[in-house]
Amino acid sequence: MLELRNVVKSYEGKPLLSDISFAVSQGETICLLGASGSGKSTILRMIAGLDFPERGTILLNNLDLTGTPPHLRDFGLVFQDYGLFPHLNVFDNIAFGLKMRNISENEIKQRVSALLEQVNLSGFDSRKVTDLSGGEQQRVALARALAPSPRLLMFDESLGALDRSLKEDLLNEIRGILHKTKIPAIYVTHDQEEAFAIADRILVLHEGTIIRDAAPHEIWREPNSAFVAKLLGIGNVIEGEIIAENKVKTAIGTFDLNCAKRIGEKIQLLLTESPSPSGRGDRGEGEAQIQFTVEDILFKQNQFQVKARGGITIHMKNAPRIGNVITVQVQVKCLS
Amino acid sequence: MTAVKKDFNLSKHRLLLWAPAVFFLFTFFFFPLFKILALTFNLETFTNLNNLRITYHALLFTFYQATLSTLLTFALGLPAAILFSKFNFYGKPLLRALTAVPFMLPTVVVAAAFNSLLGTRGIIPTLSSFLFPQLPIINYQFQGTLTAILVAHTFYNTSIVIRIVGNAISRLDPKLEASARVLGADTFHVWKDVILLILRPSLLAAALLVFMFDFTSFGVILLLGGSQFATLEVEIYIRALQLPDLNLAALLSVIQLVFTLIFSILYSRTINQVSTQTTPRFSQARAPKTIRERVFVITFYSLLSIFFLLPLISLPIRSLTRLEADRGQRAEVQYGFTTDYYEELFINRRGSLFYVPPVQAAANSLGFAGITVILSLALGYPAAYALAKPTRLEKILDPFLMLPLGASAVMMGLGFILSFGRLIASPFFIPIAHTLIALPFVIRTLQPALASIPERLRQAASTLGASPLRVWQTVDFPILSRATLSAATFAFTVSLGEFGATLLITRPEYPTIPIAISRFLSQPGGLNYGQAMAMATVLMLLTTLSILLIEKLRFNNAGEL
Repeated sequence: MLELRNVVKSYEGKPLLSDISFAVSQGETICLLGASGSGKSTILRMIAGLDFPERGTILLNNLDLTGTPPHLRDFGLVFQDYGLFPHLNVFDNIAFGLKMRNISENEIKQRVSALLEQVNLSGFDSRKVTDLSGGEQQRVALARALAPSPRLLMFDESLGALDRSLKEDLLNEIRGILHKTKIPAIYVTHDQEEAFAIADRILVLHEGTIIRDAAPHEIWREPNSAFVAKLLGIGNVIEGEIIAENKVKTAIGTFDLNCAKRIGEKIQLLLTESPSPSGRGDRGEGEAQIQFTVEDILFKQNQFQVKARGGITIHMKNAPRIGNVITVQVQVKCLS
Repeated sequence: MTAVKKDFNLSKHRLLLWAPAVFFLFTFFFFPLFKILALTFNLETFTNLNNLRITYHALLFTFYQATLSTLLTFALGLPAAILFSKFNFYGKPLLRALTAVPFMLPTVVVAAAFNSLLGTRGIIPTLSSFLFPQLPIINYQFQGTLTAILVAHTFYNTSIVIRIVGNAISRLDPKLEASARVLGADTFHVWKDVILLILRPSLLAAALLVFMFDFTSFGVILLLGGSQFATLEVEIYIRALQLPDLNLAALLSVIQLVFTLIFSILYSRTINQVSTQTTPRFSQARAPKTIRERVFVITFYSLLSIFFLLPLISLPIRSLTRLEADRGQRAEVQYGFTTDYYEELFINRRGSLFYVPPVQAAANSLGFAGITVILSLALGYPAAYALAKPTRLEKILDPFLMLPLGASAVMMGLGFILSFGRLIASPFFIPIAHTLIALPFVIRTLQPALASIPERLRQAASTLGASPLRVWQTVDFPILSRATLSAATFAFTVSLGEFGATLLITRPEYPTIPIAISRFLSQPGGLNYGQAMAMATVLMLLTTLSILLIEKLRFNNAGEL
């Protein structure tokens, strides 16, 4: 198990990571999600031993890694632009880590060809890495990182440069490999789709700390903060004002909701389509029927994404017409 | 039908563009080359044991000194390349420019500069014999040693290593090192299995280029080492002028040419590999962090500053200072500020080295340089026009135009002697030789500028009613004026500093600045020495100004494109 305890790091005099603590257990894949420049890659570099925390410790199975140089840590790291050795062919790239461990020629050959098969690149042994496509290069990088059977795998925006369909294929492959090998993995990205596609647990990094650490479905249900909701593209974030103890007023209507704030305070709210069927009398907390004017309709993944006046996006099974006024059962939740 | 006819017209037109340069090269380069070859392919030359013995020794020594020079250049150049590509520090652009200055200085200036610092009459030996008379350092001999040659070669060529290897290092993706480390490579393996292997083509290209320059070096060896250091180049000079044996000189030239050709081919192959690594440039230069890094930066910062600045400063200082070690009982030094050396340049003394006041050498040099500029532009322009849009004809002819680059200057001089005999008494052969050397540079400067002019601009101008002359005036000329000035300055600088070819074909009545400097240096007496310093300072200033002009033109040009 890998564990970070109260890790602190600054960049050019400015605080970058103020207090980072988390753990990855055997067979688990976590995703570090954050905007660019939030320090995600620095966390990976510190775990790999390429950079050092100013305070705090990084432990592997309760052993402090501080004095261990990167080449003795037995971790794998896959970069966005792959970091393949341009002077070596596919075989030698994958074999690099094995050669560093003085493994016999025969074993290296077997291991490399097994890995090539695993990443669907059989027969690519003697190809120049510079002649490969982006997806193929990424597979080689993955195989190279897997070759020495690392104790931990790290992906640094690894699929960022690939196009969408290729990305999805590779994400599925990586997930399969990670489940089979049981290697714990940390996947760093700024792309929420990648995060939801691969992670057992998502850690959202914001302003130097981890502001949310939960399973994907929990985060989707309870983003808890406006930042997470916006970052993950969950529902609509709208602004409201507390007008009475149990009443919140927004631009689209007033809701019965208790947000534990004083009267007169502004608050961010998450607006989603209500889970309970509309038209019935009994409404849950924060639920209301709101009328919208339809501005635009987009067909998306088996449903219609309706853009309504006020910048609200909702999803419907049947398409209304543009300009129609529709009534929708929605729910708002308090965000911090 | 019309297309075919047009093509035919075009190629006739094109041949006309080529004619001047090709005719010039055939008369003054290939014909002399043929003469040299004709002398060599002569059974007598080959079977003369003495010839073979001299050639063998010259070849051996040339390899020996070039190898040592290259090693020394790398010993300084590699850390310097790392310094410039990995670290940011105060005064970095200035230091970088400083290391690049020697590469463009004439050999006589570099020789004079080291002489002014470390030569028998130089600042350091004279001062140290006064300040520390008891130390054995007074007996230290720099001039006339192999050390002097090696140091001057290092001074010259370090910037090549910095440029080629430094660029390659700063293009290295830092992720490669990170990947290797994470995969289990320690520092030793990171260098052995990754970094050095990726840098190998650049290291090889830099080594080949440095080696080639050291191999064909002439002025530095003759002026700082002396003729006892018989490299191929020096031996050609000796056999052409001092102990005339033209057969042997020709044999040596051919051997020299064969080796330069081999090196050039190897070089262009390796440099191609370097340029195909089109990984994006990673700006990974940063301030030194650890103590080890700081020590490294400070050490090489000081070392490079001292090594490159001292000779360049000491030359003008020495040219304005009377510095005479008193040969009396006590070790004393007479010193003081003086402008004598400069004033003396204007006086035609009886029994002086020349039949004319030394300043006449400067006038000659400027005159020759002027003719070189006109001649090389007149020949280079049409050729560059043709090369700007190369057809198959141009692709065949292009390497021929560049061939003079591979031939040594001394060899060209020898070719002139063999081909034109007494005719070379005419001073016009000097600018002709200079033009041969400058022409490839001039064409290579003009060609990209000409190629950059969009044909559409010309077409637009002519559809608007401009005559071909007007088109050239309004479209081509404004774009070309910069490149033309840059090419002209290049030709000018090459001519001003040219030493090897001039030495072989010059007559005493028409000395150039470099010839005058070398003669002053070879004569005894403080006044002669001082005049050498003064003239070398003038030449250094002229060359530096020209380089600055070229750099400025090139920079502005690049900014516009």
